[in-house]
Amino acid sequence: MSLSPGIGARRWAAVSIAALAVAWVAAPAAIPLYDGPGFPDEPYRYVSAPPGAKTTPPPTSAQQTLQVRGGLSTAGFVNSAERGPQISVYIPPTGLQPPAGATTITVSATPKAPAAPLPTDGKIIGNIYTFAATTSQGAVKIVGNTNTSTPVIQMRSPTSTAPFPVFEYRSPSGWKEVSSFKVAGKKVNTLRVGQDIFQTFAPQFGDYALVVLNKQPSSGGGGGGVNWALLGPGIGILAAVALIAPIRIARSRRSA
Amino acid sequence: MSRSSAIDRRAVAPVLALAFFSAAVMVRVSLAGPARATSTSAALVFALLLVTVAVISRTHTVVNVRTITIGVLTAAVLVAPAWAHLGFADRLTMNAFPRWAALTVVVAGAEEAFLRGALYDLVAKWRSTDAAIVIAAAAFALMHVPLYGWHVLPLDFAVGLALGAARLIAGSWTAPAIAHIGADIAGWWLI
Repeated sequence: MSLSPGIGARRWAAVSIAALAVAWVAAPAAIPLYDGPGFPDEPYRYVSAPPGAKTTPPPTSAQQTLQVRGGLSTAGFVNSAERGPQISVYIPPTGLQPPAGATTITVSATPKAPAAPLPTDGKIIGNIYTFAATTSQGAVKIVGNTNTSTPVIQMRSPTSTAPFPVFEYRSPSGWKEVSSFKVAGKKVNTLRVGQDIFQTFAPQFGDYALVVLNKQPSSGGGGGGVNWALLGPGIGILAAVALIAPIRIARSRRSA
Repeated sequence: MSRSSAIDRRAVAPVLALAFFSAAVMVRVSLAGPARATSTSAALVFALLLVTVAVISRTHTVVNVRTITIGVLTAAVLVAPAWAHLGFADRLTMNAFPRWAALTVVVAGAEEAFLRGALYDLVAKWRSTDAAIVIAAAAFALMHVPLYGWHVLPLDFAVGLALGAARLIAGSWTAPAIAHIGADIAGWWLI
């Protein structure tokens, strides 16, 4: 396996450039890519900015065309173009069903300003996003209703400070918390999955928004800070390595 | 002493280093919570853990014209496809740049001191430089998954190979560190 350094270096330079080219063509990921600490987000882009908000370009729509296989959608992410995306929709495999004959589905999430009727239980922060899917043959249905087949929406909040918002959607009778939905027999929650990123299932098309409730839930609501369940094992492994490594180093130096 | 037992004993150090690295990632992710990659304190703790191992292992550090040149050229190779794919952007405000850039230098430098420094040396001693490049690239790609998701894996693995190639050519982790930091800093104007 070992080669002379010159041959190895030239070969690895060529292999890595080829791998970069293939990765960019086959699976171009959104930056951040190579970073240590991650990039900060650009200021939130409002359709209708509140007083005092920074002047920004208008928010972008998210749109993506998904292939149909076996009469159902294939998987795909639908992200808006801000850094980081203000809306990201994940369509799991088999999540959508187009009319017979359709070969593609266009999934979109379009921003709009909050307008009446507004939620009565809280205040919308940021934009409303209209989640939709269309085909040239007609309407698309959401058929997935499990944790692995229901569409997922992530939205960025304009702020990362408490009180944290919850997802609401606009029903024919007004805005309702997504907890009125059920997926796999359980109430749908709002999860805080990033500093200012919130996630929920979207078992219906329509308008979604992040709403800061007038009455904050007494427990939970938004996810915490330190993950103690992961921190304990992490420190345990660090301690074990710190104990074993000096012994190994001492032995290897004695035998050298 | 058989040859196989000697090989097994040499494997202990890289295995310990990988266990330490996995634990450091766990600590970073758990301390960051929902902030993930944007948590400054978690990133600094992570960097401190990696630098500690790099210092203890006495990884070979060289800063000269050759390593700087290789680092800058590698950064250009990493940035070129991103620039071609995404174009130039100017969305981020500059007032946040100095603090972010300083943190980037610390964290990206620490990652390279560990991955293309300490870990690379241990794996190369155990198996070969080829194995060192692949294992460090795999660790680099997997490290980013808890922070950004699985979709970054193919590109980050390819980037890891390129940084490994820079390490092999330059003979020191400082070249991939310069490339890594350069690509990160350039990213400010690519997103």
